[in-house]
Amino acid sequence: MTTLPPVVAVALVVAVLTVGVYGVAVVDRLVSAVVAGWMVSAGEALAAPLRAVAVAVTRQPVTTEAPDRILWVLAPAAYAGLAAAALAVVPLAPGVAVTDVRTGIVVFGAAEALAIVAIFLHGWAPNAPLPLIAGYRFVGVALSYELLSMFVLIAAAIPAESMSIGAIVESQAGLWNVIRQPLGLPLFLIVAAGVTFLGPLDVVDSTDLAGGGAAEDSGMQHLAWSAARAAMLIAFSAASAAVFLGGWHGPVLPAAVWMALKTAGVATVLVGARHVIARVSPERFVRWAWTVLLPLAFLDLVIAGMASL
Amino acid sequence: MTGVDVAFWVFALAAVWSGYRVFRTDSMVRASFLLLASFLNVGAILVLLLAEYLGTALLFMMTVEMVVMALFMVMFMMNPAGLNPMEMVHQPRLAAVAGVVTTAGLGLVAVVVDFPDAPVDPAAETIRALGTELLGGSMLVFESAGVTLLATMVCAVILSAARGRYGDGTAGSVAPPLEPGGDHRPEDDLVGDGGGGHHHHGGH
Amino acid sequence: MAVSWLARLAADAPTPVFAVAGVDAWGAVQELRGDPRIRLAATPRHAAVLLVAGTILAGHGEALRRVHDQLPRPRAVVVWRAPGTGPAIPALAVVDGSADEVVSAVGRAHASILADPTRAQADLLPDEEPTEWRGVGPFGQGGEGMMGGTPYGRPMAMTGDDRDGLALDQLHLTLGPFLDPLPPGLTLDVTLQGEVLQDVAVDRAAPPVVDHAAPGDPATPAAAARRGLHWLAHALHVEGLDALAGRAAHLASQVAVGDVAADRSADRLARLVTATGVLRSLRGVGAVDGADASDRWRQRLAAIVAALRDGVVPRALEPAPSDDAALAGLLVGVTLTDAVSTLVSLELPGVLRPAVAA
Repeated sequence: MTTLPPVVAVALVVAVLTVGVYGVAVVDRLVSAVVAGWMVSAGEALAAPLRAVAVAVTRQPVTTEAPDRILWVLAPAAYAGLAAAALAVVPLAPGVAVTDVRTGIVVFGAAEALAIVAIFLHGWAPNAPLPLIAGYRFVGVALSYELLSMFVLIAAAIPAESMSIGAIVESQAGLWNVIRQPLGLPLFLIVAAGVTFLGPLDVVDSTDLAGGGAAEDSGMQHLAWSAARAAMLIAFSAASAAVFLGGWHGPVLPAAVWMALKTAGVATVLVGARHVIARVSPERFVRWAWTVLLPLAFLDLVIAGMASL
Repeated sequence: MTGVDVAFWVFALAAVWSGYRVFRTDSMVRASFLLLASFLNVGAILVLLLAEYLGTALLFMMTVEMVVMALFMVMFMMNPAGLNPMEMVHQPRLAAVAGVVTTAGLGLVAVVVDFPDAPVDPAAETIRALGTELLGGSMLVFESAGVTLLATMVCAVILSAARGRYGDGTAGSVAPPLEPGGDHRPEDDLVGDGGGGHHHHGGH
Repeated sequence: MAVSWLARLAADAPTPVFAVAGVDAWGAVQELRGDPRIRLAATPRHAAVLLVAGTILAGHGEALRRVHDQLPRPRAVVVWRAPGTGPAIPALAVVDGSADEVVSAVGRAHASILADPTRAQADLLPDEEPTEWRGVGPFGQGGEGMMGGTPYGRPMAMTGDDRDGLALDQLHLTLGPFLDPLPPGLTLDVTLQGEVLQDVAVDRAAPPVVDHAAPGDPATPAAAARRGLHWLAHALHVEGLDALAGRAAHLASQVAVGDVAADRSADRLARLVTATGVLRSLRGVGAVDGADASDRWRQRLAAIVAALRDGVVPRALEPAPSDDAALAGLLVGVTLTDAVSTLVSLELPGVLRPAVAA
């Protein structure tokens, strides 16, 4: 169990999330330009997030008739705070974690579960039909993949004989979990896409509901929500890199660089998937999650258990 | 007063306050999530007591539980998303008496009993000890309870499914009489001719 | 000046636009998805400029003014190709020219309200609640006890039987006529139980009008392809694939200027669309006469490719159920997502008329 001094720890999480959110916005712009067949210069892509912030800042917020104001304002803050809490238990280099607690994967799972509450309340708070429908729909879908995440994380904890994410990274010195437990990473990425509701699993802020959960957000409120979502994407990418891709292990380059590269790689894959995979129907996905994905997660657990005998 | 003491009081007061708000709010959704907030603060206190696993597992379990509870409550009640204010207490007088008696009893125990003072060593392997207890000494009890619950859930789903291997689940069902010992009224039946059932085709 | 610096930065961003289009200009509006200078928003709350294009029906005046007031301030209105018969709306700019001209006008309107917010447009409707609810009922919330009334201005949801024999909440709402995912001019009165539509009333207010997005003879392969691409851009947007929608819309504008490379691009676009899995995910959705949404998408993609590569004028797509009751019957019992996908995939008479391969 390693712990950084509080000031350093807070600065580290804020820095990683800020750089990460900016990076996600830039990559999103680049990938969407490539898919749309537009020319986009590097400078333009780098300026895009700043310009989007400027557009949001110059818009005045709008409210609905009788919203739950406190929850509406708190939802993005809670979502971003949970991203920070989830990132806090992921070590970014040997011995460099905000708090690499013994119950790392349980803390990560709890942050993920609480994120479902934040997303639901964000849809519920405006007291408007489309966000409300989106919030309920999200809960129905989220309950179907919530178990997957716990099973694949427990499977990763078995060879490490510890629930600490630092110990899980150490256990991959010889062989990465992505090879040892091939089902783990794909299932975890499905959960990541679900909790950050992007691409195929964007059942919340989706276009078929005219913006869904965010349909009543304007200006800064919408910006805060988008930024929180990108922050959660970074937390999940870092956790994927640490738990399945060997974390800081890698030749030549320093440990922290490997971790950063792997995190950026996973984030890029997730952002890219958003533009090239169609949205699934919530009803069919739920059936698929319970009948196919959940048994696969059991299988993942069995593989991990057999291998450690 | 150390930082841990301050944290304890903050979490304890927040737990009590949000617990109190559960009964003062007017919506089911707010009540569910205020109850969750109360549980989260209790979980944080458990972590302070170095029961890390129990504390974080409490956060995790209670979150999913409250989400499911809120979802089902709203689904089954005539209240749009819990947005219509409603009285959140039933039998308030009895509840108040029960509450006062319980608080007084527990308070008395807390004040009068001389609790053993045995701080946990932060390096102690509490999670391993818990795991050994659950999956070693108490494994038979734990596992039989777990398997029984799982079997119950699977059976409940099978029994409530609209379509099963023997056909339509509502086939042949009759509505119970309105008064005890009264006659069955065919018009109350959800299925069959003349029933109030509202059937739609192509339900998927 | 910090503020003007911020305004300049914001003016350089793609302008967020919410478009309200009549049937005659709907295709032209979809084509704007191919222009990186603007971004068509899914909800007025995310937009800075309201684009009112084509013939808006007189009966939709109230809805148009409501959409206008839903844009956060500072807001601007740009009117494009209005015939002058629809409901009047004060505009910062009126354009009658090409797509390029309207995009420039939108950008200028955005920059102008950023530079001087006093130029922004005020509300059109008084800021009052549609239903009287404040102070009504036992808690002053507009409800009547446990049931009934309009708590906080929303009609009370009451329980009703669902398809599994349970009694669950029902939500009543009206979608349209300017809801982004729906075809133009379509209004749905729905009763929802969770995600499932229990009751649907369809109102197709739109009379058939000439589409001046595709000038000239609609029987030419280019016009048919362009019309198909307009449909594809909107449909991809609704299925969550905005970047690909941009590609389809851009191709439509290339076809408009007679770009010879368009035929190869069409092939590639069709392959990209297939690779997203959208055809697989729509299988079994909204079947009419044995053809589901996936089949209709495939027919339309084939028609676009055939028109551009082989110069074939495609045969018209089998129209959707022409009477509103039959169309509503198609939507009852399915989830809201599938209902939207079904409506998007259909050929709705009087709403949009693309074509498919012979």
